[in-house]
Amino acid sequence: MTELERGTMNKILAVVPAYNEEENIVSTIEDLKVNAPQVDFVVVNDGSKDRTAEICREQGYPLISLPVNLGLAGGFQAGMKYAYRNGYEYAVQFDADGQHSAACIQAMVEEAQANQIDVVIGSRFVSNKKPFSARMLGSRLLTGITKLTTGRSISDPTSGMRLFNAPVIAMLANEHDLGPEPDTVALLARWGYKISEVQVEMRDRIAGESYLNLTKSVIYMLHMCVSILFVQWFRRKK
Amino acid sequence: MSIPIRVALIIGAVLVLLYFMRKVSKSQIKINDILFWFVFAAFLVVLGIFPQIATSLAGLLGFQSPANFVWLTMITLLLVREFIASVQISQLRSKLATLTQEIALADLDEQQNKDR
Repeated sequence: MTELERGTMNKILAVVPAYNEEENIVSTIEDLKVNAPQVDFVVVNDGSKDRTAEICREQGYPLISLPVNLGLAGGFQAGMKYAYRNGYEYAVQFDADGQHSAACIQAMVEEAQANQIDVVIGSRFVSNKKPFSARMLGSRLLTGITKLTTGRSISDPTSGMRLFNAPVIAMLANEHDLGPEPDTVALLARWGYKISEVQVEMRDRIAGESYLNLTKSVIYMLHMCVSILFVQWFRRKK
Repeated sequence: MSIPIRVALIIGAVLVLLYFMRKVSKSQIKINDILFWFVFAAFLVVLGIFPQIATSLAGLLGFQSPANFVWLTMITLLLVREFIASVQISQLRSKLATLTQEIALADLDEQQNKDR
């Protein structure tokens, strides 16, 4: 598309946090380039020990390379700071492992524009039913406690594919303890921000290792429950 | 365990929670860093409401009184917390060193590139 066409379109940024994703990063970015050409992207290398950063440099991808590992929240926030400082109207979190589908981003942007939505979640369960499995137990629990405390029904609270508009980008960039997690979504809902969901497709991880194990999953659920059921009431609105 | 001790445990738990909620409301601490204290406070409340737990465990382990058992358990938990904190502080120091070095080196890099 021409510079003129781009200039009049919404500035959208895909933030791609990546930790040890040398096997997936190229195919993920290719998906973005081919299926979401209207979207800018930036890879956030979270202190990877593998060749993630080198591969990004070789390919010429816009890269924020953190000198130390901060975890997903830190990497995500670095991306949000970049989005904020460069005046993006929308920023979408996009997983480096190939689970998200770039073609779905446009629908999320359109939802945000059409209905003035602050946070659009790419959900697997808007038109498809959430399966009754052990994996989905946590998701059901989170949906339940979010509905209980905020009244909002969020079908896919753990989906990492979330689109934020400019005011929310500003908050995520500059406040601490607003990580890309279900408890932040619940908090934003509580603070009156408009949350909406759009059906998307997600794939299983192509290669490499997932970050979660049993201990981490338990700590994660504890964090979310404590945050949504209890701490939420004490946090001051930004 | 006597009623005053049980009440003290519950009040202690409430004070711990109030302290941290104040910190959270002022954005002076992150939830992830206080999860331990939530579990700790929950533990105090459970002991206060169900002293039978302390009584039976104390008897099993040969303590003279349930209160002794409770204090030893709390001290043990606090020691474990200290050990974990020592490791975390050490790791933070390392990260701080790396960050400081990288910033300084990037600065110098920029300087040298300008001079070229």
